[in-house]
Amino acid sequence: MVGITSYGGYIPLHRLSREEFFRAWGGFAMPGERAVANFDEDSVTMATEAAIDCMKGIDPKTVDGLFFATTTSPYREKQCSAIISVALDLGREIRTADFTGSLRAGTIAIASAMDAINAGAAKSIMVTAADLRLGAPAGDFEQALGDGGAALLLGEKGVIATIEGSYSISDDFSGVWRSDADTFVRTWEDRMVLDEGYSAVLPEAISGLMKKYNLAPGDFAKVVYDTPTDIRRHARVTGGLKFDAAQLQDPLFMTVGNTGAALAMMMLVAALEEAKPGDRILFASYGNGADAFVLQVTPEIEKVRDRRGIKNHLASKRMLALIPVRSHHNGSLNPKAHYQREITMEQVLGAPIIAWPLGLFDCCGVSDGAAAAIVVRAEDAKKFREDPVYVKALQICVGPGEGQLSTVYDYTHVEETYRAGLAAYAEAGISDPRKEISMAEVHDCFSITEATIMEDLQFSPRGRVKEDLEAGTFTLEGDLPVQPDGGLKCFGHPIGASGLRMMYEMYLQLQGRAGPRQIKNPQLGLTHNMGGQPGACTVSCLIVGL
Amino acid sequence: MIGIRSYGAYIPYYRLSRSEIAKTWGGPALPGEKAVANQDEDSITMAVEAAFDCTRGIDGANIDGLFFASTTSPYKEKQCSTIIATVLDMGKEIRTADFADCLRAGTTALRAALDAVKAGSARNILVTAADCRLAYPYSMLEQSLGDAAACFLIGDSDVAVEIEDCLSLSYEITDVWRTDEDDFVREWEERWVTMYGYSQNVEEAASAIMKRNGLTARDFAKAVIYGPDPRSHAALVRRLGFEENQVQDTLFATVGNTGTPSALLMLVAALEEAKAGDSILFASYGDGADAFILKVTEQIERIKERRGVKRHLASKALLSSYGKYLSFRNLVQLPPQASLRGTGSATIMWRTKNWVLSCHASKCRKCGLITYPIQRVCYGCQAKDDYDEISLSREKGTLFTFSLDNLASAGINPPIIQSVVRFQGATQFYCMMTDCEPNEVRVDMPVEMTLRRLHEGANFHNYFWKCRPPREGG
Amino acid sequence: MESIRDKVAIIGMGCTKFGELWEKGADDLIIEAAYEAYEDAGIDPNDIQAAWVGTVASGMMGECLSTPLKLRNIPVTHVENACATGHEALRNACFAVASGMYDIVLALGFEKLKDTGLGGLGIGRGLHPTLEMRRTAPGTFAFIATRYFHTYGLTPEQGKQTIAKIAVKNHHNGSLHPKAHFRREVTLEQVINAPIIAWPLGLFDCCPTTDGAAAAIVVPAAMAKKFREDPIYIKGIGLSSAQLLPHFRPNFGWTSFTVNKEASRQAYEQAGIKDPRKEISVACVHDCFTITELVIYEDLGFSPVGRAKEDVDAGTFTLEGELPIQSDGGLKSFGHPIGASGLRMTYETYKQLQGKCDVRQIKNARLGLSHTLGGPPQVSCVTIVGNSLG
Repeated sequence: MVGITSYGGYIPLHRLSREEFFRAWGGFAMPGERAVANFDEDSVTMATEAAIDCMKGIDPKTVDGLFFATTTSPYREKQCSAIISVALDLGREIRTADFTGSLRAGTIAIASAMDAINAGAAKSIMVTAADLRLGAPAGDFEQALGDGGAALLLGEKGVIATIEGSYSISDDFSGVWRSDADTFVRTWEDRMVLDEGYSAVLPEAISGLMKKYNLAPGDFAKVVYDTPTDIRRHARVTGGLKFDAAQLQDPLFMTVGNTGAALAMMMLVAALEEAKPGDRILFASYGNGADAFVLQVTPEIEKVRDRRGIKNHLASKRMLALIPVRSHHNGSLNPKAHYQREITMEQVLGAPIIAWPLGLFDCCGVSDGAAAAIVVRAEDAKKFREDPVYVKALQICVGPGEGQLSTVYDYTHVEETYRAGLAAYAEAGISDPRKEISMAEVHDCFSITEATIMEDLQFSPRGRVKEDLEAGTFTLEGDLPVQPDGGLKCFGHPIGASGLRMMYEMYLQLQGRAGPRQIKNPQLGLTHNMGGQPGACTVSCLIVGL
Repeated sequence: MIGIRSYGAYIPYYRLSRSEIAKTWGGPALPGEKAVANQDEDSITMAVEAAFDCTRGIDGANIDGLFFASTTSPYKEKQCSTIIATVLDMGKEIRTADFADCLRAGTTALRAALDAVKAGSARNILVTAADCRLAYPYSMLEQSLGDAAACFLIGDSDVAVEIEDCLSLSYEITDVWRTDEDDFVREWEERWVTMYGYSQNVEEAASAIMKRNGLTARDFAKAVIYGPDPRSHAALVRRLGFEENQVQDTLFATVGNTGTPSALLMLVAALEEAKAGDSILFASYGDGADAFILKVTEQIERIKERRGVKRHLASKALLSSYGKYLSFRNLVQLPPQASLRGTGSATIMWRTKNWVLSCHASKCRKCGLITYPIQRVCYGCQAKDDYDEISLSREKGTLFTFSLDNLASAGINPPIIQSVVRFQGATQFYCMMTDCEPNEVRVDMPVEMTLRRLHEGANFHNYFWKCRPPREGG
Repeated sequence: MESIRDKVAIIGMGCTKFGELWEKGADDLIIEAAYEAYEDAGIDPNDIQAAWVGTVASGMMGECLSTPLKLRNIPVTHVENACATGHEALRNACFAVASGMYDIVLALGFEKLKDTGLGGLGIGRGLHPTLEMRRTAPGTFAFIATRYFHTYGLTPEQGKQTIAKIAVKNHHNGSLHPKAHFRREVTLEQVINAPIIAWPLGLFDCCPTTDGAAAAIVVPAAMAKKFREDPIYIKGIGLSSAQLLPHFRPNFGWTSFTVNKEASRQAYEQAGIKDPRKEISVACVHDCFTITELVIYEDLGFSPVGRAKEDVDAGTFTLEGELPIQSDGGLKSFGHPIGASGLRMTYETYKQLQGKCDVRQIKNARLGLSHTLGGPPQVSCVTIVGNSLG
C-alpha cells in the first residue's frame, strides 16, 4: 500500500517575537513568535532544506519524482521542482511538477503523487512544500504568517504511515487571495471569510472522509489540519465533530506562524515525530476547497526518528529584533437576535474602547436584516384577525441642524426625541407616559443614546435616568420594560429594517406571543427611531395598542 | 485502456499581423500572424472556452476532476481550476489542481490525470491549459508569442486516443524564464537556448521512448512535437528522422508560440485529421521534456464535431493596429475612466456564484418560465421558492435589441455593444457583446455566451458573461 | 379605495432657474424654490406643518430640507423613487393632507448634479458587481429605439428622423421659457447629424445633466380659496412599479412600458378621464430621451400603438397642435435634476392652468398632466391637475 516513507521539515533560524510588531506599529500584539526567512532564502531554498532533511539515509536513485507546492514561487515561468531535484541529485528521468494557486497545493500534490505511484508511473515521489507569504506591514497577516517548509517522501517500500483513503472537495471562494499583481495577502471581511470558507468547508471534508471510511472521532490518535490567520478558529472548527483537545495537533501558531501551503504538511511532520506504530491520523488541509486523508502509522516509523523535522528546527533559533448586560440578556431569549449571548458588567467595562468613553459593548452590531408589516384601515382590521394592533400615534420630528449651529445646545439631550414624544403622547392621549406606556423599543445605537432617550421620552426625570437604571425600572421584570427583544444592541442595526423590527416586537408582545420575553398585560407599546446626529436628526415615535 | 476521450481548443477571435508589429518598430517581420486575447480575456476565460469545446455533447455528471495548467495564472493565491470547474457546473466533490511555472505544465497535468484515473481516484478528468504570455515590446519574441487554450478529457471509456507509453525528463536550465516579478518573458542567448534546452531535451526524450518501444520514425503517422519557432522545430524533426508529411505544423504562422497549451493545441490539430489506427509521437518541452506514444481508435470519428483548431482558425478578425494590441494587453495607459471603476464584493460574488459563474437561471416548477438571474418569486406566476436551476452557458440565443454605447465606453473606441439576448423566445439576458465589430450588429442575429473578465473591483478578478456572434462550428 | 380627486389643492409653487449652476449649492436651490412657493401662496414659513423632500443623490433624511429652511422640528420625510422622486414628494404630501392629518404642507424636489465632475449620470449603476456593469441610461433607452424601429418597420433613418422632430419641438418650446437650461432652437439636420451617444441616440436625443429645484404648497381643497382665487386641484395621481429590471424580464418587448400604462390608467380613473387625447389640455412627460417621449405618446393613450410617428409628423403635440406636450421644453430643455423633475413639470401645468405662461400660453387649458418614468425603467407616476372643482 502507498504511504509516507520519510519526512522532513524546515523552519528558518530567525524568529520575530510578535511583541516587536507592537513596538514598531503600536496597536496590539498577537501572542508568540513567527519564523522569518533570511534575506537569502525563498520558497525554493526552504523546500530544498526540507527535502534534504527528508532524504536523510535515502538513495537519491530510488526517488523518481519531485513535486513542489507553493503559492510564492520565485518564478512565473521556470520549473522550481526541476531546480530542487537537481539540488537533491535526483537524476533526469523523473517526474517533476509545480503545484500552485491554492493553500492546499501541498495536499493536492500529495494526492497526485499517490496517483502516480498507484498507477505504476513512479515508485517514489518527493512532495515538498514551502511558502513565504507577505502580509502588509502593520496588518494582522504580518504577525500571523510565518515562513517554513516540509517534505514527505511517498512510496510503497518502507512505509512509515500508510495512506488509507482520501476525500476532496472544491469550492470557489475569494476569502483570502493574491491576484497576479498582488504582493501582499488580501482578505475579505474576516467573519464571512471564516464562517463560509474555512469553518464551513474544512469540517465538511473531514466528516465526508469519516463517513466514506466509516470512522468515528475516537478512532484517531491525532487530528492534523491547518489553521486560518485567526488561531481561535482552529480548535473551534471541529467542535461539532467532538474531537478531544488532546487529539488536535498544535497548529504551530505560537512558534512558527501560518506557513500557507506548507502548514498542514509541517503539522503532519510534527505529528509523525511523536506518533507510535498503530496510530491512526486524520490529516486535512483547506484552500478553495479541502482535502482530507486517513493515515495509519507502521512500525517502520522508528527508522526515521533522526530527522531535524519540526522539533529540532524549533529548538534551533535566533530572535530577531526590529530596529526601527441587560440587552444582551433579553437578546439571549430571542431566537432572531444577532447576538444571543449574555455578557457581564465586567465584560462591558473592560471591552476595547471604540470612541472614548464608548467601548465595544456600548455599540450595536453591524447586521443584515429585514422586517415587514401589513397595514389596513382600523375599521377593516377585524376582518383579517381577532387581535390586530392599532396605531395610536405616529409622529416624526426633524431638526433644523441645531446640534451644529446652535450656540446653546447642551449635548445632554436630543430635542427631536423630546418633541416627537410630546407629539405622539398628545396624539395618543397620554398624559403620564411612564405610567401609561407598557413597554418600549427605542433606538439604542449606543448605550448612552438609550440613557438620554429615557429622559427625552419622559420615562425618567431629566438628569436622573441613572436612578432608574440602578433600580431596574427598564428590565423585563421592571415597571417599564425597554428593549424586550434585545434592541439594536442585540439585533444590530440594518438601517432600513430597525423601525419595523421594533414594531414586530411590540406586535408580538401585545398579542402575547413573545415567549420567554413576554411582558404581563401590555396595553401600549412605544417604538422610537432616530437617524442623523443629535440636533440634526430625524426621530420617529410610534405608539401602538390593542 | 486509459486515454483521451475528447479534445477541445480555443483560439481568440483577434489576430495581429506580424507585419503590423514590424511596421511600428521597423526591422524585419516574421511571416504570418499571432492570436491575441481580447482585453476581456485571460488564461481562465480561454481555458473555460476550450473546456466547453471539449465537453460538447458529453454528459458532465461523470467528470470528477479538473486540472489547469498555465504560466500566466491570474492568481498567485486562489485556485483557478476551482473557478473553471464552477463555470462548468461540475459540483463540489471533485479533484482540482493548478499546475504552473513551466511550459511543460500542460503535459505534466495530462500525466497527473492519467495517473489519477489509472489509480482509480477519479473516473474522468478535464485537463485545461492556457497561456497569455507577454514579450517585451520591440523584441522579436513579441512577434512569436500568441494566446490560446487547449483541453483534453482523460478517462477509461470511449477512448479516442490510447496512451501507450509516456516518459518524462527533468532538466534544470535557465533558457526562457520569468521570475515572480517579471511581466515579460526573458531569454538567454538564442543558440545556446536552442541547442542545450529545447533540441537536446526533446530529442533525448523522443529517442528514448521510441527506443524503449522498439519503434522508429517510420512507424508514426504523425509527429506532434512542440516547437518554439519553425526553424529549430524543423531541424529537430529532421534529426529525429521524420518526413515533412509526418510532421504536425507548429501553428506558428497562424497562432504563434502559445506556451503551456502549445503542444496540446498541436495535438488537437493533429487529431482533427487523424484516422483510426494512426500512431502519434507527441512531445512537449519546458525545463525537461515529456514524450508520449499515442494510438488513435475508431472513437475519434465521434468527436470530430469540435471547434478545435481548424474552425477556430477560420473565424477571426485582424486587429486594425498595433495600438489596439497594446491596449488589449494593458501595455499603454489610456485616459483614466474613474466613472467605470467596478465595485467588487467577495461576499456578493460568493453568494451569487450559481448565476454569476455557472450562468444559472431559475425555471419555475409551476409555470415553466425561465428567468435570469435566479428569482425566488417567479416573475410569471409569483410561486415562491419553487424552481429548478438550469444553466444558460451553452444555450444559443438571438439578439433582441441593442445599442452601440459611447457613454459606456467612456468615449474610447469601439463603443460598448449593449445587448439584450433572448433564449427560447422568452428569457432575457442583458449583457455586453464582445468579439464583434459594431457595424456587424443586427437585431435578431444569433449569439452565444462567453465568460469574460470584467474588472478588478475589490482587487480580485470579476468574471461575467458576455454574448458574441457564434464562432465557427458547434 | 377612494380617489384623491378634488380633495387637495396646490396654492403656491416655486421653481429655480435650471442649468449648470456652478455657483449654487443644493441649499441655495432649496431656498429659492421654497421661498418662491411661500410667496406665491402668501404664507409664512412657520405655517408649514409637515414637509416631504425628494432627492436621489443630493441629500439624506428630512434634515437636508429642514436645515437650509430652518423648519423647526416638524415632520420632514425624505422620499426617493428614482426619476419619479419629485412626483413622489408631491404625492405623499397630497395623501397626508387628504388624510386630514395636516392642513399646510410643503413638497420640494431638488438635485445638485454638477458637483461630480461627470458629464452624464455615470455608468454601471446596479448594486451587483458584474450584473449591470457599464449599464448607462442612454444605452438602455437606445434598446427601445432599436427594437421600436425594428418592430414597426422603420428604417434607422426614418426612426431617427421621427425622434429628431421631438427634439426640435422641445427645443423650440424651451427657447420660450426663461427658466430653461437650454434656450435655443435646433434644426432637424443638427439633431440627426449630432455625435452618437448610444446608437441610435445622438447628443440631441438626450436630455442634459442639470441642477434645479421646484416646490409646491398643498392644502385641503376646501381651504384653498382662502389663500388664492385660482388654486389648482389634484384630479388624480397614479403610481406603478415593475417587478424586475426590464433587461431580464421574460418576454419584455422593448416598445412599451406597462408601468406607464398602469400609472396613467389609475390617474385617468381617479380624474374621470375617458379620452385622454381629447380631455387633457397640456401634458409634460418624461422625455429623458426623444425615443422615450415617442413611446409615452402610445403608453398614455395619446397615439395609437405603433403609430405615434403619424402624430409626430402631423404636429399634434406642438404648442399649436391638438395636444401640446412639453409646453415648457421638457427634460430636453430643462435637463433632469432627478428629484426636481416631477415638481418642475407640475409647475408648468400649474402655471398653464392659471393662464400665466405668456408666449407659451395654451388657450382654455383645463386639465394638465405630468408624467415621470424612473429607473431603467421600473417606476412611473402620472399626476393630473385641474383649475376647477368637479
